[in-house]
Amino acid sequence: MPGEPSNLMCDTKHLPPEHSDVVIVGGGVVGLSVAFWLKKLEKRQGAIRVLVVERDHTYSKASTGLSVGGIRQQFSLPQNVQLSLFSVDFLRNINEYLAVVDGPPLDLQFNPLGYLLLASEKGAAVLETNVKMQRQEGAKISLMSPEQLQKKFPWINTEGVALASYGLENEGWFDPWSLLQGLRRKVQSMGVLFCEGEVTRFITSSNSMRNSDGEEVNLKRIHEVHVKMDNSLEYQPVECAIVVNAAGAWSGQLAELAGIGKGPPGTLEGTKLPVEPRKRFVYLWHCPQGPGLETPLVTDTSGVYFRREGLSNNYVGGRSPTEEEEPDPADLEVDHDFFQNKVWPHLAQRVPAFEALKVHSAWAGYYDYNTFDQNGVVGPHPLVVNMYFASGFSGHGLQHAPGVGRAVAEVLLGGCFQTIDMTPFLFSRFYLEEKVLEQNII
Amino acid sequence: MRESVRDGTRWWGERPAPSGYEAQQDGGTQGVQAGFELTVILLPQPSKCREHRLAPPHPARDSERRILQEPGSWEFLRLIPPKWNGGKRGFRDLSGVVTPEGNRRKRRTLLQFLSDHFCDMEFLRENVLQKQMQKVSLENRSFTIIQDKYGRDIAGACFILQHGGSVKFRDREWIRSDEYRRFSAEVLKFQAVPVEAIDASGCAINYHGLDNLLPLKKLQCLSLQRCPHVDDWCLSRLYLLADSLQELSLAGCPQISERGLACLHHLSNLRRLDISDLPGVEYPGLTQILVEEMLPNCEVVGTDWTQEGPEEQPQDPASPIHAKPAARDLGDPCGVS
Repeated sequence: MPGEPSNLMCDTKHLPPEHSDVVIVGGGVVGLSVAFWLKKLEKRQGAIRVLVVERDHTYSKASTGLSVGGIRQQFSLPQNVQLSLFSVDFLRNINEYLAVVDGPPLDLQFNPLGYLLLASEKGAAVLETNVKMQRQEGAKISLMSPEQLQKKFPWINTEGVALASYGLENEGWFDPWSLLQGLRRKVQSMGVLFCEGEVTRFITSSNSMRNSDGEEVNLKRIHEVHVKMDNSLEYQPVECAIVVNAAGAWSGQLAELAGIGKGPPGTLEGTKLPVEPRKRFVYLWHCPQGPGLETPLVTDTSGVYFRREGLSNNYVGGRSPTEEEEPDPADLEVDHDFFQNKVWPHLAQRVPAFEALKVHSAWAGYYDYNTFDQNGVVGPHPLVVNMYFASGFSGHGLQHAPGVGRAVAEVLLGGCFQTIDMTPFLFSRFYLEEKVLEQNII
Repeated sequence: MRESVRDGTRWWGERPAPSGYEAQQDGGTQGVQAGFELTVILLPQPSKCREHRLAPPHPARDSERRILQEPGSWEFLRLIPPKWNGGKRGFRDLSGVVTPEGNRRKRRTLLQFLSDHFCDMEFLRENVLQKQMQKVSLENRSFTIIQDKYGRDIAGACFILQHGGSVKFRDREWIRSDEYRRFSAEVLKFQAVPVEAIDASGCAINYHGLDNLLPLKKLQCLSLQRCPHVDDWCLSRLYLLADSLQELSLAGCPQISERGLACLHHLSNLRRLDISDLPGVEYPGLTQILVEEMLPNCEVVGTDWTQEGPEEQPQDPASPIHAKPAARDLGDPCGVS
C-alpha cells in the first residue's frame, strides 16, 4: 500500500553474494595469500570470483596479528625450506607484488638478523644434517662451534651447547600486521569480495562410485556454504564451486562441519583433520644490561626463544610447553607463572644478563597445531572433492603463507603443484599414517 | 541478480560506483581521497634525483630529463620515512601522513577520478606503475659476458661505471664515467689488479645489483651515499665483504633503518662507518650509540648525539620544503642543481 515502508527491496549490503566460484573460509594471512595468488594466476582478468569469509574483522584472536613474526629457513624438511625461501623473496619484493596505484609503499619493518639455533650433544648430529640440506636448497646458514659462538656473541653462556646454526641472510622477523594490511588492500583492489560472517553449514551432495578394487566410495561435493551474520540469525547461502579451508586454529571444526571424519575409525571417511588450537604465550620484558643490537632470534636447547624488540633493550620471547604442560585453549588468558617457572630459569641460564629482567606485558595466541606431525595440510581432500586445505602449520604459518598461497592456487587452477612439490602435505597422509615430521618446531 | 547488474554496467566501459561489498574496504579508493601521503602518478614529478647526484647536472636532452625525472617520482615516494605504518594495530587506518602541495593534489584527484570511473585508465595506471618498478630491475642486471671474459673485478667495475659511480683499482687513480655514462676501455686491461675502492654515491643500485659488488674480495672502501634503492635487505648481504671492508659510507640513504644497520655487526674489520643523515632512522642519537657498542673497533660518524630532541628538518634541497623552487627550476633549459 502506498505510504507503508516497502519490503520489496531489502537492504542486503552486508550479506555476501549469492554465487561465488571460490569461498575462502578465514581471512588471515594464509587465506588472503590464497586469494591473492588465485587472482594473480588466473588466466584472464576477472575469471575467478573469490569470496573471503572472516568472522572477526578485528582479528582479535587470529594467529596472524598475535604472532612474533619470525621467518627462517632452518627447517628439517626440504619443502619447508623452499617455502621459506620463496616467502622471503616475496617479502623482499613486497612492493612489487602488492603495489596498488595511489597506495603508499608497505614497510614490513623487516629485521634481517637471522635465527640462532643452539643444539646440545644429543641434537648436534641432526642439526648438522639439517644445515647441510638447507644449504643445498640455497639457504645461507653457518655452523658455529661453542668457541666461535662465545666470540661472536659474548653474552651467551655456552655451557651445554655443542653446535649452533646461524642464519646469515634471509632470516629474521617482521611486522605481520603490515603484511596482512598490504595483502588485504591489494586483494580488494584485485576484486576479491569480503564478508563478515561465520560459516555454519555446508550443503553437500553425495555420489557413490566404485574404485578399482570394487569397493564403494562415497564422494561428496559441497554446493552451498551458509554464512551466518554476526549477532543475528540471518544467513546467506552462497553457491560455490570450491571451498578453501584456511580457518587456522579452527580448521578442525570447519572440517567436521563438512562431514570430514564422520565415519568408522580407521577408514578414509573416518579420518578427521587433526588440527586443533594450541595456546602459546609471548612475554615482553625489559633488561637494561641485555644483549645488544646484533642479537638474532635465539632458540635455546631447552626450547626457550627470544629476540630484541625495538631500540630500548626490550625483548620478546617464550617457550613451547611440553604435552603435559599444555594450557587450556578455551581463552587467551596469559599464565604468568609459566614465565616464572618454565621460561625465566632457562633464559637466565643461557644469557646471564637475563637474571635481572622485568616483564612489561604478555599476550597469548593460537597455533593451528597439527597433532599428527606438526606440518601443514595443503591440497584437496580425497573424498570431499572440492574442499582444499591450507592450515595446520603449527607455528610457521605466517612465514610460509606466500608459498602456501601460491601452492593452493596452483593445485586449484592447474590440478597439480607446479613450483614447490607439496604432495607430502596432502590430507591422505593421515589415513595412510605417513608422518612428515618437522623437527625444528619453535 | 545484483552481480549481473553490476557486470552489465561494466560492459559500457564504466566502472560502477562502489557497492555494498566494496564499502567494506577500509583503505580503499574512498579512503584515499580523504587525503593521502604520496602517490605514483603518470605525469612526472619534480625531480629529487638531481639533488642527490654528486656531479652537477648537465644540459639534459629531453629523453635524459625524463629518465632523471621518473626515478625522481619513485624516489620521492621513499623519502618520507614510513612512520605511518609503525606499530599501528588498527586495520582500518590505512591512510598515511598528508603532505601534498596544492597543484600535485589537483593532479592526483583528476587521475584518480578517471581511474574510479574508467577501467582503461585504472589498467593504464597499473601498467605504468609496473613499468616504473621494472625499470630499476633492468638497470641492475649483471654483466655476465664481461664477467666470463675478464673476471669479476672488471665486471664489478664496469657495472659501477655504467651507473655513474667511480672505481679505484689498487695502485691506480680513480676512474669515473663521464656525464653520458661512458668510460674508457682501459678498464678492461686491469685484469690482475683487484678493485680497492668504489664510490657508488647516488647510483640506482639495488639488491640484485649488489651481485656485481659482493665478489670483490679485496674491496676496502665502499661508499653508498644517497643511493635511493639501497635498503635494509642490501645491508644484510654486506657480510660477504667482511674480510676486507674497512670503510663504509651510508650517509643520506633514504631507505635504511636501524634494522639494516644492525646487520653490519659482521663487518669485523670495519674502521670507519658513516651513518649520518639517514631519514629512515627514527632515533639517530640512540642508534649511533648502539652501533658504536656493536662495533667497538670502528669509528662511527653520525649526527652529533649530544643533541637531544625531535628530529630536525634535513637541510638539503631534497626535502619537501624546497620542492617548490625545484619545480620551478625544471622549466629552466640549463638545469639547476
